[in-house]
Amino acid sequence: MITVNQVSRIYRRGADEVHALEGVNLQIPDGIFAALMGPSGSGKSTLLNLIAGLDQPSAGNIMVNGQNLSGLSEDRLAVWRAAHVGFVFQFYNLIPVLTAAENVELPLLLTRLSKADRRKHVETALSIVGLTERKNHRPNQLSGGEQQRVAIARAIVIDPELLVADEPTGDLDAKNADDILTLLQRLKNEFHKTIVMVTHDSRAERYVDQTFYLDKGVLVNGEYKTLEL
Amino acid sequence: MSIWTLIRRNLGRNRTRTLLTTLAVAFSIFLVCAVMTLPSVKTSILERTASSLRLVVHHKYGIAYDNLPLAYAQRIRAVPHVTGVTHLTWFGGIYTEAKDFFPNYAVDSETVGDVLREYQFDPVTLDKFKKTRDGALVGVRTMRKFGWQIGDEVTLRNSVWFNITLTFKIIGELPDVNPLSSTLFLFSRQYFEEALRPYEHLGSMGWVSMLMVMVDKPENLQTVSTAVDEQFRNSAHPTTTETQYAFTATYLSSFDGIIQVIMLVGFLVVAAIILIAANTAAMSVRERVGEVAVLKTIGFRRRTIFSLLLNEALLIAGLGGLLGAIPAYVILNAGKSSWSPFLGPLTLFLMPVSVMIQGLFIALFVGILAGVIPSRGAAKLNVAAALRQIA
Repeated sequence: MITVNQVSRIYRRGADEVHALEGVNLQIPDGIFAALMGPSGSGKSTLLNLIAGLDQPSAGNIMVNGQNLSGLSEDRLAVWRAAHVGFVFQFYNLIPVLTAAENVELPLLLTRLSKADRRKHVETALSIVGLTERKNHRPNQLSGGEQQRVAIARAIVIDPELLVADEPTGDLDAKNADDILTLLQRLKNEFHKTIVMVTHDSRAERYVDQTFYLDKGVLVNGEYKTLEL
Repeated sequence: MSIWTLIRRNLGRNRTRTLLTTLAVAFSIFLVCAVMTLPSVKTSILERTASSLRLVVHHKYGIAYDNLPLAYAQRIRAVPHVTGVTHLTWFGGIYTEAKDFFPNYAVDSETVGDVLREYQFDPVTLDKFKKTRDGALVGVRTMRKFGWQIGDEVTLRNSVWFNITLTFKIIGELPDVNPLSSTLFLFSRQYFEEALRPYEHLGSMGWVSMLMVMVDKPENLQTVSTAVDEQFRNSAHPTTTETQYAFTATYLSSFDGIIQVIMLVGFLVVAAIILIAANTAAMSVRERVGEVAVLKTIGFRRRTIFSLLLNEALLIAGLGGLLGAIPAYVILNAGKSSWSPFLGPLTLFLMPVSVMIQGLFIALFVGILAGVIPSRGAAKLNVAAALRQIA
């Protein structure tokens, strides 16, 4: 369960203050695929970063699976993220000098797994996203859709409870975007991941269980679709 | 894969930049090693030229100030604990051009072998030297430099002693026992005085540049030294008597200033290289802000990011250090090799192993200084802000 309780985030730019979020309250149950939507500058990515433990709220608190993220030090947040959160970015953000398999293995370097165990985890993750045969290719040898699937494999290789995705289809064509959304939905259904996704893509509403709308830092509406069991 | 895989791959990201930075460090470390060898040159000369039982007697105000009377030799022989006295007179002769200089002295052929024992004069050659009026004993390096053979005639002209020109017959070689002996040109004082006779009315006769005195035991060095100086304290030509080691050290100390300037220049070069390497490291980190943000997002902590980036700088600096220090050691020890007769004064540059190790540590220090600020900046990067930049 993700609980966002009266969260505000204020950025200071010299003498000016930017209220990126104001008094946001929401809950996302476990195993739900939730989307954060809204116009540019509405605070979607800011909220996503707070839920993922990448930033600290200026007011309020955030609980993720019983862990209160507010007030944790940067190092404690890093340790928590390494164990509990997988990230997918709009522009994939793969390390260009590493192969697909090595990119996927990166989060595992922070664990105590042996080299053999790491290799098994990598192969499992790549097989889930359907890229086993491309594991020795570098990012510049992969298409956009393939790179994003490698990024998803990197995000799930540590088997996190929570996946956060910031515009994962923003740089993809329609076909690849559908493939990625289908993959994310599969991760939710088959592997019971909780997924929080920032998106402008209206197609995403077909795949998600819950949609939250933000505008000017305020939660406007949170729709919860009835789960089809 | 390991963190070292990531470090190595990152260094290969821009191979030209990595190569140029490594070579810059290598050249600077080579230069620094050469510069740091300079003080050891002085030590090497002192160790190889010193005789523990020999004193050098010269004019009180310096060897270049004035000569000493030849008659002093006889008086010094009478000082207790003195076992031998010889004298040398600087000729200042030039063979071809002034730049091809080598030290040349008129010596007492009868006593030079007894006092300059470490020169290992061959007895047969020495005997011939005593009997050959115009004979010359020449150091092996000088022989090789000019391609002379035993039996050759050599003419030296000089501007110190009334522009006289003397022709000598080379009758023997001085072995390569120390940097000085291997370059010397020694000839008979008698031959020299014959050439000076036309200028006798100008007071040219009976002067020597310095006297060398052998003492029976090391504990008597100070006693003899004091006795000699006391004898001539109130004369028109007072003396300073000092050990061979002290005499050579005083002479070499005149180069201390220039050595310090050269060392300062060398270390300024290192400082410049640190700035270049730091700029390279900073550029490399700036280009990878997004990747650093992703690594931090994944969960890499500040100290891991810091050590990742710092190790990149250390690897470049360490490799540059090896590429600079090891060739410096090999090249600056060429003086020990069979090539040494052809290397001239470079043979004095014998780089100790300690200088090579110091050079490697300086290289690592360069890496630390160059890498620590950009690495620290990257480690402290605000992840959310960096992700906004790359979004």
